[in-house]
Amino acid sequence: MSCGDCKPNANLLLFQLFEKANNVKDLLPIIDDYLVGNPYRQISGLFVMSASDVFNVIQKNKLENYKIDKKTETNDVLSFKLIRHIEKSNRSISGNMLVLRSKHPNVYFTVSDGNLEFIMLGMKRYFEELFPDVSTLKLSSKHLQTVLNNLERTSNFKIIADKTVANKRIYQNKRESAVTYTGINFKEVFERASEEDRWIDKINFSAVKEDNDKRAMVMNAFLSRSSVYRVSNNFSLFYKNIISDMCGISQTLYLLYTDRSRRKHNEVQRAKPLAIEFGYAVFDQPKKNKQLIDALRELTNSSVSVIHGNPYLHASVVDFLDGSSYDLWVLSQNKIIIVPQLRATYSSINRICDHIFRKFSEGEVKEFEVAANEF
Amino acid sequence: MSFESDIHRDVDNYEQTIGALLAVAQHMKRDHSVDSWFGRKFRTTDMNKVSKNTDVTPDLTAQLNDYGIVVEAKKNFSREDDYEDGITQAKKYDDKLIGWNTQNNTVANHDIILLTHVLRGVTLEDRLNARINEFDHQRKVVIVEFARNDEVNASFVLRRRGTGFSSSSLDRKFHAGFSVRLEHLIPLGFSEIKFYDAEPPMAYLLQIIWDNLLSEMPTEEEYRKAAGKRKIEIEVSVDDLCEKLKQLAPKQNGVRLPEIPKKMLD
Repeated sequence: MSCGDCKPNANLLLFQLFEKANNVKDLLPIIDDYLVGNPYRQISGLFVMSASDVFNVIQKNKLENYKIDKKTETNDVLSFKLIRHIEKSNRSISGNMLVLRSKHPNVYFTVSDGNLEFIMLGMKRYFEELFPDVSTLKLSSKHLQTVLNNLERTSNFKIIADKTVANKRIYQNKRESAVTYTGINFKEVFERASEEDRWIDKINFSAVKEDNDKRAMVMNAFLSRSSVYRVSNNFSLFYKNIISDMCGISQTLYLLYTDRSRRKHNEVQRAKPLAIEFGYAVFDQPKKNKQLIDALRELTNSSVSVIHGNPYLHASVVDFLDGSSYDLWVLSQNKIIIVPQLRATYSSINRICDHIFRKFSEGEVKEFEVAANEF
Repeated sequence: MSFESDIHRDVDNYEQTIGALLAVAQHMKRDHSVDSWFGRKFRTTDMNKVSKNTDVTPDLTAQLNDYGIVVEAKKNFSREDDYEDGITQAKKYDDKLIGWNTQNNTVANHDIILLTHVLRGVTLEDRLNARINEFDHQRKVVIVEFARNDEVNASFVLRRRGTGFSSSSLDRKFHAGFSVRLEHLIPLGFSEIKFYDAEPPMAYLLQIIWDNLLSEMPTEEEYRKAAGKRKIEIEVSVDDLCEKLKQLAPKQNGVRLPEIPKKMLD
């Protein structure tokens, strides 16, 4: 699109993006051109996972207060204008967006030039309402660290954390958020957060090219644990590194969370338990069980029954958004065991694990196994 | 004790008994490579002192070649009748039971375990000894006590009282006592097996019906429409609930046992 000194017309580029893009390959140069030279332009999106074809889910489900004006559809891209009517304030918000099929069968990501309000209250809320057919990707701060590590390693650029929001759990499930403007390498930011028992929730970062004493910023972006991203320039670099990594993580989590229901074809199967491992003795005092129970009780649209609370914990959790249910056990100091019951969708497991990460403590979700030498 | 703590105690007793049975099963598997079955059905003979030619279902059975074990569990013998029931059950299993995993469905010998909480073991043993002449059992009746150990990792501790097992290797272990971590019972079905062959406390039963069965009945579409805010009406029959509850009991040869008494749901 570039022709020497003349700058590409933003409207034309957006028209090409939302009306003409057939695949990811087509849209990368269009977005790069759109972002170049204007720091106020941004491209945002998020990641979703689904067992179904998300293009079909979007077109089949007519959600109250949402309107879809379809523009185009190809094998890889669905383009539409999303309009949400917000009843409370009696106003509407809208924006253009693309949903793109990733190379992973259950993962999609979105692209939009919409503002923050549209991204959070329009796009993100829309996908949350498609639960459980579609589930937005929920990351841990360890995932954020991993994708940034990979970006630095493969691109050879220095990754500088410009601004972070780090959270800390304090007494009685109250959360303390700290916004920090750093300008230092992201690794140090993650290390400091870990030392202070915080977790990074959101990060604005830059990829910087260092050449002798000269530093040049090659990419500027934002990433959050709720998988919302924002890019201000060099979308191609962001796509090749961050988006492809995020899609890989998403597919891995999807496979870990899926197929956990005990009910299969009207028969009841053996349970397939998961464990959230913390890597340290998080349950070192009996009051921690109580803190976990309090945290679980904050999960919206759910119920928690405590069968045994102390010194070990056995609770039953029901997710009223889709009828999934779980037994939760704390039988040692460093893990929570989640035993999915008759119905347990990947979307609900994603929701519960994310809730525990945000409201109690971050850990790593794994297949629950007892080592042969332990057994 | 308040009404609420009574409910908690009853539910805890029931769940602990399932855990203790699984702890025996886990020990059999880990230390003796022996498989166990929950609620396996056996037939008594016409020599049985309690019920001739009828089906009996011990809470747990284990078999090593031509030697078997049948386990009857009860954490709390809270009433006088409970001790009588335990001894009567032992009497019922003191028979050449038919239904073992052998060609002729019998084994040369089996022992009978009465599994109970450590606080009840002595009294149970005293009651059993007081009836020893009248009972005149042909097989060994072993009282195994369990207690929960709530130190760093929650576990069950098990050991036998006076009379030992016929199998010397088994007896050595049960005589010395051993512990089984609760976490290690999860792969064996702790959290899947909701019932054993005893009537569950009503609060426990209702919690399982509410959390596991009713929640599963509406379709995902109905849940989406309700959006966590609107009520969803569920129509369900007692027969249907009984059938579904049965699916939460252990499966034996394609059959799930025990059945929840229908009268509890009527």
